Amino acid sequence: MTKHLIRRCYLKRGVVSLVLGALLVSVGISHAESVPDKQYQLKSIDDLHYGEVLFDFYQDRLFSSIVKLNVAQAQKTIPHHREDGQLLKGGLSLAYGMQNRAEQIFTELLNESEDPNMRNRAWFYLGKAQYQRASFTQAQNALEQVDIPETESLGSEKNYLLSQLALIKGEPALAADYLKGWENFDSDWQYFALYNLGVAQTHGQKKSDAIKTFEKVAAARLTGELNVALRDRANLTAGIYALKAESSKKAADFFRQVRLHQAGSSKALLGLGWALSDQKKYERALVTFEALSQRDFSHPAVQESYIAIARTYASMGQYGVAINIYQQSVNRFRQESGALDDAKAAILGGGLTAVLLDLELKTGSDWFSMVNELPEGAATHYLPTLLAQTNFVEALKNYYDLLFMAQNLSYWSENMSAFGDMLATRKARFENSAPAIEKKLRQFDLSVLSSRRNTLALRFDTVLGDTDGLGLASAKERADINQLDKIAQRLEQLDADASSPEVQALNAKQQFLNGVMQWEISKQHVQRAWVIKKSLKQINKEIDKAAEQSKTLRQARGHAVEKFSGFNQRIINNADLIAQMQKRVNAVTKRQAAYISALVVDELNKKQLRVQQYAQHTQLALAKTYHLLGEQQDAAPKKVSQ
Amino acid sequence: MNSFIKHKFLRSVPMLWLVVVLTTAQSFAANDQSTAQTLDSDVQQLKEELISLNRDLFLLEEELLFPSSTQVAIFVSMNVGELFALDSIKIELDGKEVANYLYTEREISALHRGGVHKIFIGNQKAGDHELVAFFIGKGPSGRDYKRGTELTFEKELGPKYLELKIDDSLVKRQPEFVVREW
Repeated sequence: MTKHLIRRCYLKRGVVSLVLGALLVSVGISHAESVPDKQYQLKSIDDLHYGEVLFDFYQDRLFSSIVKLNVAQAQKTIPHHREDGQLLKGGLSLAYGMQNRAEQIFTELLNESEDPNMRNRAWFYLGKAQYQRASFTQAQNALEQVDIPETESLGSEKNYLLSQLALIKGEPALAADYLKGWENFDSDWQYFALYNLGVAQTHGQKKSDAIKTFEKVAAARLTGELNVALRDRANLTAGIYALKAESSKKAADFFRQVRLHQAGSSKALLGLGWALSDQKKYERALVTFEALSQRDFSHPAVQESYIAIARTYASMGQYGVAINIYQQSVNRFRQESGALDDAKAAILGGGLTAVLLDLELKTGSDWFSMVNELPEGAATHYLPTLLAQTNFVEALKNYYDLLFMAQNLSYWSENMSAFGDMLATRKARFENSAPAIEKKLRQFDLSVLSSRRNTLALRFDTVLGDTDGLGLASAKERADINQLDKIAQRLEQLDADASSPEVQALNAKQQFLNGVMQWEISKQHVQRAWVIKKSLKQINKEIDKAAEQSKTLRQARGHAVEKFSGFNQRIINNADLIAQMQKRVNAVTKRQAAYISALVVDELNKKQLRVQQYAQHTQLALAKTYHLLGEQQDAAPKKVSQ
Repeated sequence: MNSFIKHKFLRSVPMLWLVVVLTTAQSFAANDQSTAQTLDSDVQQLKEELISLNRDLFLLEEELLFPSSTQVAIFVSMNVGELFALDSIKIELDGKEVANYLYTEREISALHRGGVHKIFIGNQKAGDHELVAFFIGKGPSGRDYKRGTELTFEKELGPKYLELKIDDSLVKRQPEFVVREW
């Protein structure tokens, strides 16, 4: 009976509630990052440059996308997507961590737009920006203006955000109310809403309702990594509540559903071990705890598994084994405390910053996925476990954004010098070629060309007026006609009798050929006239174009010096701005690195405190077990003596 | 008595642990929040200024390298694109290869969703030019597919934008490749 009491106390108020209980105060989870919604997939792109912005946006190149959007707006190349563009700009600003700017853009959009659809979305994103800035009252006011049904993605997210705001205000019933229609939510949101409903119910002390809710998520047939991870979490949460409600068999079933290699699996293994232990299935509990104890010792569940193993042996009456394991655990906790000291020293000595810089160089923007593969070292050992913490991830994101800014500025700084060289070369070339161009421009007289064109047009009009149409005959046709004329003259000059059959035959032939020629020429007259008219028009066009080009060239030459000087000034100004910004970015990067180090050290202090508490706890348990062993040994000889 | 001691001991340790942890966390949180907010605000400000600076620098670069009087830009877009799986596009201007671009899956997905890719930007003199584009990928039956399309366009004084559009002809069950002048 006493042993049973001890075990139950462990289970209900002891170590297990510290590790597993941490999950129970979890806040709601969202299904997506704060990138703009799917509705940005427009049916038609009416401006190429807007499509170019979207091309980057759809590839998650947020910075490039925002810059291109700003360039397009400055160049006025997206007239058909003015409001879309502003909404996208606000959404991109929000996703890029510029909540202040996003809020400003959405407010401006609300002042300008009369389109209800646009206004709804602007209110939504304004509310989201304010929520992210922790301006909760303003966020609620903005979100309450949104009139989008919960069946749509934005409507679902709106309800999710409002429920979070209600939880922040300490109104869990209201939070649950926003999520109760989860079945009608957009499919991407349904089970996240259901899970969050469970969270709201736990805050409202409706534990039995919460378990049923988590069970629903756990039982759902979900696909996709995000959804399956949600199911894992629901199984884990449901398992913990079942364990607390002393339904250990049910709890074990929930814990078994959690996948073995994901974030919450260590907690699930610990819970399973306790659930089995609760059912007095000590052997199986030991297998579970021992499997867990092989994992990374920095995880609290793994640390607890050492105590759990010893505790289970004690529950089985094997106090000697339990004492041995307790002793090993104390040493292990001391070692861990020492490792944490080393880690803190390495971090405070700049080790973490060096690793983060190295990681950024190797992986670029994909640093997040690579953090788990960091080289093992005192400064990095605990880093992956910190990634579950929002403030740490946000701080890391800002740090990498700052590194990106430094790279970007460095790129432009080099370009400024190249631009300067290019401009100097161009200016020198212009100055060298200027006299020759000036001379050509002076020689180039369009009036001569215009005059020649006018002469041609006059000739054409004259030819058109001729009745015989011979003016449009080709050179060959003219030659043939001349030849026929000569033949006729020669026939007239012949001494022979004009009435002789031979002469008559030749005359007839000449007249026939002449007739054929005339007919051929007249047949093609209309077409030839059209071709000439077209050519004259083309000449007009070319002359006009040449006049325009000449004018542009003269203007360009006139403005060239001014333009060179303008470009040069812009290059100088921008180079100054870049240099100033580089200094500021460097200063903020150092502050950010120091902040991250402080965050990590603070977290390591907490870990160390926990490890020290475990060590103390284990020592006390060790003393107690020695006492129980003594009792057992005292009892054994009595049996023999009896 | 014995069980009372065990009970007390087991209860007291975790309670102490919780109190210590929560106190530490709260005291840090106050400083932490203020530092985080100031830093975050500074980072936001820098981001905003950097975006603005990048905009000005891109404008300067374009004006310097591709002045509007000579600028020709070629864009690629896709409408549906189920009958043709694009791998790459090669572009020739006046018989000279100016672009040969191999697309990633991510880029293809962006094109499917309505994104437009600027595949080429360069300088061309005013006057007539011949554009030939080759689209390489997999056709309707999954076989290798290569199609060319051409356009003679006139470069005038302002910038010239051309769009290469991949479309599906549902009637012919064949992809269509269209060049459009903007």
